[in-house]
Amino acid sequence: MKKFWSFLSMMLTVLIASNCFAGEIVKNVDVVVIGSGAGGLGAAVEAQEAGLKTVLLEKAPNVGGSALYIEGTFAVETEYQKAMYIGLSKDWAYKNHMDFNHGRMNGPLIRRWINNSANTIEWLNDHDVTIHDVRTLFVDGFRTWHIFKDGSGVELVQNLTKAFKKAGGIVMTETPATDIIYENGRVTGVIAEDADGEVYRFKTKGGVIAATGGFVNNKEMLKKYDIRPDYLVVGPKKGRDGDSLKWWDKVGARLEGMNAHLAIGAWLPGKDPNTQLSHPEHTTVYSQLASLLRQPYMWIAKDGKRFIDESNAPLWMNTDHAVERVGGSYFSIFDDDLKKYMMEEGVDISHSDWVRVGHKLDLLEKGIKLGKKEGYIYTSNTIEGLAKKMGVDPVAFRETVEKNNKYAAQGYDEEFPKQRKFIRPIQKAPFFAIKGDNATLITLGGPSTNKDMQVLRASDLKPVPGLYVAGCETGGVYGDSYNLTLEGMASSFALTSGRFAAQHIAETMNK
Amino acid sequence: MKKIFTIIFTLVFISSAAVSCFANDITGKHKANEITCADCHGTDTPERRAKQSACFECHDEEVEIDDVLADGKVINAHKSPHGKIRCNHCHKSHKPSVLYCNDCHAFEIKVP
Repeated sequence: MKKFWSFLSMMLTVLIASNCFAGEIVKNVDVVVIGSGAGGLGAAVEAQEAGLKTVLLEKAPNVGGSALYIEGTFAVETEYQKAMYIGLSKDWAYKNHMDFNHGRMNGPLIRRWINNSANTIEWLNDHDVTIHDVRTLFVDGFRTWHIFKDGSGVELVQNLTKAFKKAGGIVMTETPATDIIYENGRVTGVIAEDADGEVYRFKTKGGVIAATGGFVNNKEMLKKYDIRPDYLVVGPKKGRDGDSLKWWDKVGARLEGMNAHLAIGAWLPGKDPNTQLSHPEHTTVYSQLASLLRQPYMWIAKDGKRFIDESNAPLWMNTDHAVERVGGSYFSIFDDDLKKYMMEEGVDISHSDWVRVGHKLDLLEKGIKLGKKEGYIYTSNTIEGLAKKMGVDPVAFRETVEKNNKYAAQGYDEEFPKQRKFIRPIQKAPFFAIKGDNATLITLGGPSTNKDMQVLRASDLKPVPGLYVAGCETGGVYGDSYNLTLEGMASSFALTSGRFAAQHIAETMNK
Repeated sequence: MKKIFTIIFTLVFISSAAVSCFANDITGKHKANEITCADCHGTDTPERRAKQSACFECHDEEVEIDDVLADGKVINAHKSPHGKIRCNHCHKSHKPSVLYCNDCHAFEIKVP
């Protein structure tokens, strides 16, 4: 029997050795950044350019993560804004954000970030990132949104990656960090596995910066943290899997705001929202169809009734919650007059910066045919017929339409005090309904930090030496929802917090 | 009894080591050209995926092909603005090929 056991152990050793263990490659570096979205790129470029030997790990085949989906970024008191006579100040923005979130946030960090937001814009300019406009999505909104080339994050990702490599940084794609090395209360490195199956042990003298982009692609984790797991998801469909959540557990980090997420409008049901993004000068059938869901005329829940002032459409932090209360989806209603209006005069409410206010829906006829075929647009010559097709109570819906038409005639919305110009009668057949489902973009919860982005322990609120976090997986940046009144905050925080983490490591290492 | 265990473990060992070749028959041109496991994986009993460099033993590293999209726009999928991507994210040897671009985009391009 002894012989048998020795044979067994020998076989197992051979098996293990041959199948999964080819020996680790040990690398001594200063910094490992995990994730190459805006947070990771901000951290990696800042660290490498400060003279820190930095490795940037990305588990996807290409760099960029959610950053490829950024349209523009927040800042106040920039040269761009000064040249456009936009007087929004740092003090004002800080107060706005604290008030918006009822102070449920990391005040000192928020203050430091907003005070440095203009510096991040200069830093982007220094790294050849193009900013061509400062916009807002709202009529008379706050112009904080610095728009990137083509309204997309592609150039940002390209040029920051280029700068990082030029300074000597190493990018490793398809190389997920599988674990952090945590010993004697310090984080001293990262274990990672590359595409060829080689296992690396990175020993970090300075620190590990986690910027893995949250957990919006991980349904189990969404459920665990009380976010509906069947939200449509804008942006990458995989990769943002909550890789860092186990590391926060490992070091006993204090977590906050885990159920906050960046809800983003409503989209065509059952379709990938990415199909409905477009360049404002080159809109598509699908982006024009999605823009119908944002028009301010009449939104109907399953019960055939209105549930919100529809002109809130671009204020996703309001509409997300309202739509969730009626089951996560709704119908946007219009009649033949409004159809003609949207085709000839243009839309009244923007679909982010993909379809702008005033854009004429020249592809609407084609879109309606397509939407009927794909099953989310309904048409009828009667209100009752439309109700039947939508599957809502025809009596309730008829009553809603009659009330709306009365409000239109009297110029006052008695139910929800909507702006007069958006109260439009639904009276000319054929009538149209398009269904929309709520979506989300990123999760916004994570570990509490100090102003230097060091992760804090729950037990004593002291930093875990060697461990930093950046980007949307940082806790304490938002209260219960994303603050859309300061447009572009997520990417501004990601870039700036990544830079803060790297700056602190550089200071600590006297670089 | 001992003998039986020995046989079982030997079988387990052999099958686990050789599983990828038995389980994943190669397809397409690689099959037509009688490419063997060892040609790509460096061994007849592979346990790991083939290295990127294996592709370049036969194929050119630089590929210049114009991909014409439905709307007439011409792109070059091999020159992605998002950096170099391993061949086998699109070109599969053991299952049907896919277009990795379409994780985000919606290009209509056939992948051999």
